[in-house]
Amino acid sequence: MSPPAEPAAAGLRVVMVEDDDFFRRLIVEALKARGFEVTEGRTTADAQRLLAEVRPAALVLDGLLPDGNSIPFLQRLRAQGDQTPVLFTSAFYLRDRQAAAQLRSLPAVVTLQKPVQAPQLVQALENLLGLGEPKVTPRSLPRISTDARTPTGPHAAVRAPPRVTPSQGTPAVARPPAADAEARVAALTQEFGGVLGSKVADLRAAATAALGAPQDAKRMEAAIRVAHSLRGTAGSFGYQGVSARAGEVEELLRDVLDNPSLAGSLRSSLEKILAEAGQLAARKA
Amino acid sequence: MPPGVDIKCALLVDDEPEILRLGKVSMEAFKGWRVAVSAGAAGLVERVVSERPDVILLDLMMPGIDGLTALAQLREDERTCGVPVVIVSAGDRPEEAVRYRQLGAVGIIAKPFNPRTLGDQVVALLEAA
Repeated sequence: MSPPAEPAAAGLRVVMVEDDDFFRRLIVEALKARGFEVTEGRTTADAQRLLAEVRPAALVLDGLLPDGNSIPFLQRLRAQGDQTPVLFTSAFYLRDRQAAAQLRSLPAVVTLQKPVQAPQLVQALENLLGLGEPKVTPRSLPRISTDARTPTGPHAAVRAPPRVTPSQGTPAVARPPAADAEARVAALTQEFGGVLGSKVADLRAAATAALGAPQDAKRMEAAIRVAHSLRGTAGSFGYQGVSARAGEVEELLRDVLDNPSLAGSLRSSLEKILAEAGQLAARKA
Repeated sequence: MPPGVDIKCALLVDDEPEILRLGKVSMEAFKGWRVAVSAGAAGLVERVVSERPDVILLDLMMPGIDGLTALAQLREDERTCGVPVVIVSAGDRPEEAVRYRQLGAVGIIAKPFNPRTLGDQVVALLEAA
């Protein structure tokens, strides 16, 4: 009996730089399952160091990292002559016309819109590296989109990933069901993280208005409903800090509903809690 | 419902679209169930009759018809009174849990819930009922 064929990616080194630990772990596991050797980082500084140390076949790079926007980093990298193929993933930079244009001007950079599931990211990376033909099935997969294009410059031979749209379906990369489930949850979580700031802003507006009219029970109950909802929703997506602050706002508003004369004395407490929630949401987004 | 419950379809009722998406993905992906969703409790009895879910996950604080009113409607209708209802609520007062059970719910899952274990929690509640 002949030995099983090695994965096409066997031994290929990849650097994965992503500050969302949960999402990074999902992707790393998926890449390892395809035979990649993966080295992980969380910042553009990590990316710079690991490119020199690992000399990877490709870099998977998140758009926004704790030490800044990754696009200037990529521009510097190319200016320094480093042409490592890059799969650039982002939840929002790719919707920004200027940022998208900056990325298009860089050679050997392929972009992938978040939220993205592990199989799609792996497929895009394999296509970027020219590993096999793109595989698609007719199965529908909403919410996934890619901004795929053919790289230019020194890596012009590198193929861009197929544009995946609901009409084209998902790449048929076999994955354990649990990994797929985790990837689906992670994609939703990332998506929710992108709107968390606006949810906190909604809470701020509702709570501030309610505290400004403490005798208006209907307005207070509406604000309580907003806080209650954010508490449950943010927490279910894993944004526990925002969930906890929303719970505090809910309790505070319930106190005022029971005793409107407390409104004045609780105003500064409400501001503090909302400010913390806003900071947490900004960090998570 | 006896031990070894076999759930093929769940109906998730919540006014939060994000919760509907997360709960649907959670139970579909981790448990393999078909998950129908409803963005409110209006017309819920007829929806249950048409979907024939094995379990209903019901939010409490919803605009319009709230969860407890919906629970009462489900219990009063002979076509839906036998469908187990699990309350999914951010309320965490123990006395509320007792009250909901008295009203016919099989149990409560607290929000925030863990999307990785939501289906397991539902199964555990049904097995214990």
